[in-house]
Amino acid sequence: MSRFVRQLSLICALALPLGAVAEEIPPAPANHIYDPDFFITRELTAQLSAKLLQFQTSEDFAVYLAVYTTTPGVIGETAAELNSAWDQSGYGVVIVFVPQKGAAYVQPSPQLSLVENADHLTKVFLDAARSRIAFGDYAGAALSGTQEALKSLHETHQRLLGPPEKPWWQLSRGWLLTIFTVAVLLAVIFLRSSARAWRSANLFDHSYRFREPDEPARLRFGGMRSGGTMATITFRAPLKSKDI
Amino acid sequence: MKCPSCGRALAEPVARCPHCRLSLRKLDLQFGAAPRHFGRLSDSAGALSHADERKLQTFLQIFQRKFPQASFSVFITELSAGTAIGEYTFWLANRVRFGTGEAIAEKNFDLLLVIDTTGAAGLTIGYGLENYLREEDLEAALSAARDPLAAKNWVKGIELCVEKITERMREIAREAIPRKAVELKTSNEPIR
Repeated sequence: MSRFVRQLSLICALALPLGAVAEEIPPAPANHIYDPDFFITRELTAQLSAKLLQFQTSEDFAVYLAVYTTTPGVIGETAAELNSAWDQSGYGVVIVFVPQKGAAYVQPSPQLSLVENADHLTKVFLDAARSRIAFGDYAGAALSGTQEALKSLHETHQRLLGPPEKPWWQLSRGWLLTIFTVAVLLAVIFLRSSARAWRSANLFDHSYRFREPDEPARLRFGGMRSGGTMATITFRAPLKSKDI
Repeated sequence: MKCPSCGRALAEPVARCPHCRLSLRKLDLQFGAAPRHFGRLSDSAGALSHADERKLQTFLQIFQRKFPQASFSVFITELSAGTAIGEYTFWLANRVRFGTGEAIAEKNFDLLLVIDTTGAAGLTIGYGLENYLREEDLEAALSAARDPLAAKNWVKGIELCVEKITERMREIAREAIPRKAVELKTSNEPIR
């Protein structure tokens, strides 16, 4: 009995700290970066934090980066737990990065996961970070991976929102062409009618008059109007027999 | 002056050509009833489209605004083989009412262009213009129209012919105006 009690006490003594570790979830970091082991330098933390905060302002949902030496549990579960704890709105993303293992998991919130796949985001992150991880540049890996993930999220968000609504004065090319064509047609009609009016008005070309002969015309061949003063041409062969 | 049929020069105005016996009465018998003509343009050959006709009507109207005494008429027809364009033009100018009906003898300043679509054209003037336009002027106008007419571009041919005549008549009128002004000044005649 005493042996059983001793074993039970030992198990409890070992299990208690593990349970405490497993349940410990830190509060959401104000700068959106949780890095208890200081993998990321202070300068890069400031730089990355600025990007994450700016992203939240522009896209209206938060992205957190958590960098661990080793995750308390399975990396995906840790990411899901952090996401649930930190992101109250239902939208948002938590990136869990374990640089020394070269592992990462990007967990979108349940709402966002309808349109953005966790595996895809994780792949984007790791593709960008992998080369730096190989050189042991964990801070740089975190920075470049996060940047690529933000880019991908931004594109997804834009796709969800649809194309930005154009102001009424920014018309499509078809409409612009139509308006241009109509304007040209109207201008042509206006210019044509103006030219006709100009010519009809005879503004700069005054009328000419001829003086009537003082003597009456001497009529010829019985013609009262014309005496046969004329010119003739033929413009195609054969000539007419009696043509002049 | 020449006979519109045989083309021989005549020293005096005659009622009948002493060489070919041409007279208007003889041409009446030859051509019969006068064809119908309205306005300034007739196209009995059907050579012009409706748009062409309107364009030419406007063009001829402008001519008359420049020269209010004169009327430039165009008659397009298809003459039967053997018909002389000179005879037909002379007969038409006297038998069909072109321009104003009252304009006869020395008061007639009208011009008539007859186009035979089979390949000939004639341009004649009324008695009133004989003191101003010579046969050389008329020949120059027709020569300008020759190429478009040969290409059956009737509108262009007519326009060129009218433009050439307009140009010449304007020159003549400008030369005549100062002379007329001097004469009116001495005679105190009211300016027309």
